[in-house]
Amino acid sequence: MADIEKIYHTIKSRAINLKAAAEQLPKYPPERRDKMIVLMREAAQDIIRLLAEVEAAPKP
Amino acid sequence: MNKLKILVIEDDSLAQEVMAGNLVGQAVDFAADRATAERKLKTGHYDICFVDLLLGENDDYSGLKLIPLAVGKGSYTVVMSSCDTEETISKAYTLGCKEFYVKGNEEANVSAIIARYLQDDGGKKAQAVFSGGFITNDPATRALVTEALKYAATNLPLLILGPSGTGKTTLAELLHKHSGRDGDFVAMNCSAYTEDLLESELFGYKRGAFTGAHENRKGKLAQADKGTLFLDEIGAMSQNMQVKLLKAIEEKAFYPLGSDKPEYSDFRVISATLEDVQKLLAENKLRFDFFQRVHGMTVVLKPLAQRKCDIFPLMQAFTKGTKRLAFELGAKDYVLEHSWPGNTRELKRFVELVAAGAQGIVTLETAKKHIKPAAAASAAALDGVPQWYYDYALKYGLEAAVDHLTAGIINRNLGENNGKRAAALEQLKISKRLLYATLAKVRTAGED
Repeated sequence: MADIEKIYHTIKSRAINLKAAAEQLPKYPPERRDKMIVLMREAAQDIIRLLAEVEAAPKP
Repeated sequence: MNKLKILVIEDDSLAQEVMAGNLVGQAVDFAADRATAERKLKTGHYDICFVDLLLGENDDYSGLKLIPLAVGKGSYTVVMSSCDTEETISKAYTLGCKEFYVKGNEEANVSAIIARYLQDDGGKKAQAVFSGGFITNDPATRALVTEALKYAATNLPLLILGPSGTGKTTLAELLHKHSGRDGDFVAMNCSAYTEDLLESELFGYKRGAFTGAHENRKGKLAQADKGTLFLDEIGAMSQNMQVKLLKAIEEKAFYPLGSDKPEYSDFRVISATLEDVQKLLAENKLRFDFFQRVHGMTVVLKPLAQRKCDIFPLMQAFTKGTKRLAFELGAKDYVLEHSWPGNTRELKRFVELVAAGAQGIVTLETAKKHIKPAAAASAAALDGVPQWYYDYALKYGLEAAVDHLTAGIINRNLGENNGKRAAALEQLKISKRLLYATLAKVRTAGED
């Protein structure tokens, strides 16, 4: 897989995980919710970082 | 139920957390990289192994390389990935994974995967099924039932065909047990009811909906919520009822009699008939749209005459926990030669009759005494029908004849019991609904 394809794939993967987590969050027990939110925030930040990489990449 | 041992090979912490949430109640272990996964797979035993294909940002599909190891260790291996090119999917299946799913709908997918795993637990479940839930040694029937069980955990409708007594209800119940559905198995023989009664039985009714409806009553559709509704003899249902039921199946909503508010029920339909479906369709007795809705997968059960290897195992099952029987050679041959037109029902009756006798050894004479040749048996069944009832059925239809017979029996019983309805209910073993509906019909007929 080319680098840019890997970035796209990772964005897709993070976004999918974020969606699944968002769907589960309301049903999560309170003691685990905070941990989940931290992980979701990390995934969201990762997506922002990866999008910046896509922006910076040479245009096709 | 014992906890399943599950290994989730996933590098993403958030995805791990999502999986942990979906696998609550199971013994779950995680591996975030190839080396850890290899070590855990080599040292432990896992019932199910979920594998992500890319483990790390610069990974080169190391998940694929773990599939043969997981499969080799006997794990039910499932790939979960957001990388779903045809090439990857094909590679994963070639390497032995059982299922491949695209990430994003874990909640539904994971529970369906566990249900499928439980059905197909390396053949162990199958053995248990064929020696208990559905007794058969016939390879073709085993293959059919195994195939049907693959659909047990889905919401697809199933149609079971086969002569009376071939195990249609037993199979439907077995499929329900393997469906993972929390609700009840609700069986209903459509041929046992008149149209009005069938409607009230299926949809239920509200108090005051008709004479005799003194209280609200849940119908079979509502009873089967989150469970399975088994409709036997669907060919006996009128076209009008088929339309109503079709709507209820499609919308999962229905109106109880006397109600203007819909009720909802999440039921799965399994239907059955002993009649020739193509003939029913050709004769317009079965609506094509209704048939399309109920025949998702079709299972045709063979009569006992075509699977004689099941006769003695079934007899053993019928006498389990009671008096066991031994057959003399001649008796054995005689039993095997008989065509068993009543199938398992006839066989069961035979076993009960023989077991009730004084001897544990069944002689040829005993077997002959209790097995009636098919022609004689069917003639005996017809002998019991008076000619005028037969003529009435020809003139007004079978349903009307049955109604007439029902009303006659109920009236006679009420007369013998000085009109005491409680006595009629007990002696005739009928429901209040049948009693009151019949009386209402008799009254209406009298007024007319």
